Amino acid sequence: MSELQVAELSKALRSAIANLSTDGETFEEVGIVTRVGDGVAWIHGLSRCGFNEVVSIETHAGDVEAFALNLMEDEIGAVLLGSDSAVAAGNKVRLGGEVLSVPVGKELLGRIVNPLGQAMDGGPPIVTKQRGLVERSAIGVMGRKHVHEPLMTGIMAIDAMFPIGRGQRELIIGDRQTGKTAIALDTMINQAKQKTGVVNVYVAVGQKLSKVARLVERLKQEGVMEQTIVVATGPSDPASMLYLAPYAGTAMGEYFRDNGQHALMVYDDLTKHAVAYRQMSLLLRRPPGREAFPGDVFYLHSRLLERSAKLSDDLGAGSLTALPIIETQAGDISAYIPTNVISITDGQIFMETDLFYQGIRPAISAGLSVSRVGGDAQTPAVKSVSGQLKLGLSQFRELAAFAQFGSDLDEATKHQIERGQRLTELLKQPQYQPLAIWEQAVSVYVVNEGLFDDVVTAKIKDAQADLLTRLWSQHKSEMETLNKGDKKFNEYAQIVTIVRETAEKVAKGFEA
Amino acid sequence: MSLFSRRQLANYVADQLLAGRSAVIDELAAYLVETRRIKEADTLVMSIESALLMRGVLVAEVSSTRPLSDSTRTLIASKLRQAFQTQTLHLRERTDPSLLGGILVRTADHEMDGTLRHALNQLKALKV
Repeated sequence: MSELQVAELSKALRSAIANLSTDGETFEEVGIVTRVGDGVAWIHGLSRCGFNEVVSIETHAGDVEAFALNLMEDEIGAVLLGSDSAVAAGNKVRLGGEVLSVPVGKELLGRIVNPLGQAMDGGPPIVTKQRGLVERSAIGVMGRKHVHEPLMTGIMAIDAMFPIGRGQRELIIGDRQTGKTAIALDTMINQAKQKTGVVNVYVAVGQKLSKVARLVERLKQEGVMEQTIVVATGPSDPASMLYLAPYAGTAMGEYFRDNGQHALMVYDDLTKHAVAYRQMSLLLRRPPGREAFPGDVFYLHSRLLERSAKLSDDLGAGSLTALPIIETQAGDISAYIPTNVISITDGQIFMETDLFYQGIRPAISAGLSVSRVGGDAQTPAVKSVSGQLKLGLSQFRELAAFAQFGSDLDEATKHQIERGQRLTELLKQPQYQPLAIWEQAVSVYVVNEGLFDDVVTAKIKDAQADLLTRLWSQHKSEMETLNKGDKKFNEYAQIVTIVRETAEKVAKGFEA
Repeated sequence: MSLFSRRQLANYVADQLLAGRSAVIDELAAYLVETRRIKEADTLVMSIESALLMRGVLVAEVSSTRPLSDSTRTLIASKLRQAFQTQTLHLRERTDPSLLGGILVRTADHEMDGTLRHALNQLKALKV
């Protein structure tokens, strides 16, 4: 059959469907609610209901939607997507005929939505051309490519030591109040500052809405909101909404991935997501396992994070990077959910309370953090200087305990300790100030090469700022070349000379 | 005593009823009392009706605002036979003035709501 006939056939079928007369009312399958409570409705009937199918419950106050999660011999357990106050035993239930989907597309950029894709920012209703499935299977092996492009966070400690690539899943883990969200936020801001074109999707799972409002305010202030979608759920939302939020957000991110663009997902945080799922599972009477989580809590997160991928060239080479966040209790990363998510992701950034209170911010633990696939994706200019940085810091960690002995140490040890202290100081970075590639490369190079060895440790940040200002004002075009970062640092011979000369001049101003 | 699921009970009762053993109803009543499952009686009846439908016997309830005329009844019966592909049909008739007009046909798992009340409710849901 020729192409043309097929096209006509499809058109003919469509018009036939549109014109099909149904002769008034028809029989439709209905079930009834037998009991309801805690956001779960139990339904009798609806033998043709599918897993995850949306059903609609007819109540006196209008229809309430639910999705079927327990399909059993005699009844269906469905989790309500709205309030259960209007739902009563005896209510009629109808099949929706489809699984959950959300609106996806460019129209969502700059908007705050709930997990059903409805506007929460008081703006006009969201109308998109396309819808994306909330539950969707991940791309297979042949549809993928190895992670090879960098996703710059703008945070020197991460980009230099634990680089993240587009399509990677990098966990941000740590106790409360250690700056986990700050890292994710800085990364989002950096995408706008460096004009990377990466779309941000921030998923707030049961976060205080005041915190979400503050975050949105900051994103607007930094000019990032135009390329950001915020999927927000608060602590007072039903557990079903918290459970859906990450999947709905991923569906929105996948639109960009599948259209050859790049998107960054931030799940803040998956601990609350697991808790919401535990609540739903227990109410659905599924047997509890370790820490009362259901047996499929691993699958809950693995199927979510597997959707982040770097696509093959055939599929448009788009990518979806994920930064899931996990909150630990008293630094215990061996609890159930943290170990699960650590094993699913391609590395983790571990935040330590002690470091945070010592003033080392971002409080990234150099020993416990790792990036398993980001090395290939690291910008060559930063990569060429970061090897020495990691070495310097790890030697410093071994010797740090001796630091208090001061003058009793031999010259070499003293030198290593001082270098370590300078590097630690250098990696401190204020919030909302992501650094460009050239700034990172120059800063690490200068301290590694000992050009700032005469600078007082406490003044390293001032010296760095001075150096960067001078370089940008006097050698802008060279720094723009370096910012491409596609060669090793030493290969930019002219720039190396400029940097060395300027650094020496700067260092003189900050000597002890 | 082991607990049977509603589906198992319904299948058993449907088979027995079709075999002409109407005493099965008393047995079922005794079983429900014994196992303290009286609450399930209504849903069990629906399950039995849907089990009967699978065996080619349709039980349907027709509600209308006033008693059905013979011609309407015949028309409904033929429509039901056609829709569910069954020969044996048991009609239960009920009058309910609150429907306002039209008819409501209900089987165990399906319903066809052609009442004025339903139409008005749908109109109300559109918020015009």
